Amino acid sequence: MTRLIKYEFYKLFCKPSILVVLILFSVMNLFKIDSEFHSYSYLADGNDSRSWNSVYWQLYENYRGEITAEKINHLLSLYQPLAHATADRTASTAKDNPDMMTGNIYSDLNILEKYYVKPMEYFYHYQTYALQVAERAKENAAVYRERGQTVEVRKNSAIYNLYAGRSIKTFAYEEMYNYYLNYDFSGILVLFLCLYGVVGTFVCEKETQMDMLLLTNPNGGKKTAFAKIAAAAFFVGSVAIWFSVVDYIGFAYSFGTTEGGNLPLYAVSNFSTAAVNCNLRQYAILSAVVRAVGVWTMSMVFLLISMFWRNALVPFVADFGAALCLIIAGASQSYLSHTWLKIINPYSLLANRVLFSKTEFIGLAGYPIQSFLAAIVFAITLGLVSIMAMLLLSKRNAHCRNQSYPAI
Amino acid sequence: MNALGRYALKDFTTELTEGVYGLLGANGAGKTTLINIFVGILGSDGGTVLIDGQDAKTLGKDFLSKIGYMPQYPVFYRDFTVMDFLLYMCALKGIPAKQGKERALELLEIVNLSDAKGKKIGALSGGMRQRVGIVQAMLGDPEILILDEPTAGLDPTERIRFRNLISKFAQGRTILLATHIVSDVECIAKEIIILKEGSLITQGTTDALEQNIYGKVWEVTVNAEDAARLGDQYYISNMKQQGERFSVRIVSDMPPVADAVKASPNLEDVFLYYFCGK
Repeated sequence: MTRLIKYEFYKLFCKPSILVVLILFSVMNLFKIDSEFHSYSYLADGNDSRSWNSVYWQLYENYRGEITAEKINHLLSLYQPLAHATADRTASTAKDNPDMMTGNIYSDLNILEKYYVKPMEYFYHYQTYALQVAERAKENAAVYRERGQTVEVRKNSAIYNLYAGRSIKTFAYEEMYNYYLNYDFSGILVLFLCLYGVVGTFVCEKETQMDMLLLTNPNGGKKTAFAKIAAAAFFVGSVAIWFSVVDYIGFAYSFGTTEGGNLPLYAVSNFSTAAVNCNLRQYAILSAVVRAVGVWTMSMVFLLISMFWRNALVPFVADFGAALCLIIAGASQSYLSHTWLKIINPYSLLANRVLFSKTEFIGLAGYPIQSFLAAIVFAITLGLVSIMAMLLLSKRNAHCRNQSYPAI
Repeated sequence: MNALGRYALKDFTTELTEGVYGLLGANGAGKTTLINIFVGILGSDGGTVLIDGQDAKTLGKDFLSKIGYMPQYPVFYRDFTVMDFLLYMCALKGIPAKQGKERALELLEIVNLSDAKGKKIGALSGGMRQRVGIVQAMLGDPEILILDEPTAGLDPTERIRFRNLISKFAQGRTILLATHIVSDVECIAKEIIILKEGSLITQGTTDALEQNIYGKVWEVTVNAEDAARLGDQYYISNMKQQGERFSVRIVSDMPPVADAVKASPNLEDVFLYYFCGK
């Protein structure tokens, strides 16, 4: 079987065209990541001694690490005088003030406010916020217990367990992770590359009339179908992981740092109600794995659709259309709160912040299940059902149809 | 049977032993359908394929291990090298890699393709690709070799070369060679099976088939005008120009002209007799 999978992988995916598209998409992705940095980060203003970038990293040494009263006081001693001086908006707008770090008082105020005061404030107060959520959940659980609403009791208990110990004890640069977690472009590239790669998996045999020859060989029926599915799964998994790695390296390179990896996920403000307790570096790995699951599921559906055609064009167009619909539906979910739509759309696993940034539950058989878990289980089930359908629908030699299912 | 109730193959029974069998039929006669049913690509509405008295359906994969099949117009995988393709076919046949490689090299030597083992299949000529086709069919050393129109699209030199290869591989195995080109099987086939509109017309040795139509092949020497007239009225299997006149070979139950001379039938005459005359 390993030999068959190896040959199927070589046959289907070790093609110059796929390699070219992979390289092209990777380069496009790196340019896009770099443009994210240059378009949105205030620290992308060069390495001049008065640039925000230089000033930020000079100050950073003073405030990184454990959040202490001394650090907060020191920060406020810098920030508050600037805030007072600019309160009435009559301060000098000169850009070459030698007393200012960036040369301009408003600029100094803004860099301190955006990159130090507000994050530090958020980090500092997060424990209180989390505790409030936990306490409210505990109270709710008690109320629901009295009413006999078991699902709600379990749900609030889960919220309590999730939030009770949350706190952010250290300060670190988290901007890179903020953009990394909100970046979806590579997910679309992965999807289209996988679609391009897998759509010919079964069709190529029909196009070369090898489908007939395969059927006349002992391992040419279900075993070959299984080998094709396994090779396709390995391909899409590898592509998904590759782009996750490229994303991480690209962001680290463009932003010039991987600082902040040890911060908890909820340290990124739009993950304040995150569904999991892990640090940002762990989440990067989790996100890559979940994305691979999503790509695998969609690819298996693509494969299933492509089985019924004799050439690759029609299924490619059909799959492309289906992928676009899922992407658009997935994008709209960022603004809507239809939990079930997120769960049944495998694209949610590719742009998985919609699943992990909020603590959401659905009730299933009397138990509250977190939406990300439900989405993963649904996607795996859909993928497995697609595989079963492919194995059932794949052709078998007429003389072997009465034989038992081959051992794989 | 198709949706319109038309049979692609009907009432076909034959028994094959060791040797080359030529399956002759015009395009659409049902040769490929017969082969596809035999090798299990198509299911049949009825009937059985028996190997040494055992039903192929009972043998299942063991049956597939006994056959080697070369499809019509094989394209294979253009990006594979010849050797990669053959090793892939070994994997499909369940032949261990090392043993498969040795067997592939041995067969490539026989078909004179050793130098092309590293070439991409897309870069091979039609004849070379056909030879790769027969090598893949022979990898498992099958007892039965099924070749569907193996010489289609080959030039005369390659066709002769391929015919010789088939003779070489015929030792100790049964070969069923489907073709509509009479010369492909005339010299090498032990028996000829003639198929028409999905039914078995006749089966026998070349000599026997030729004997069956003895007295139905005529030769006349006529001028151009008469040759054209005879062409309109009879089935002409050959026409040779001899100066101003033409030597015309005619397949007909009755003498076409009074001075027609009986000729010894050949397999082309047999083919013409069954497909056009009868």
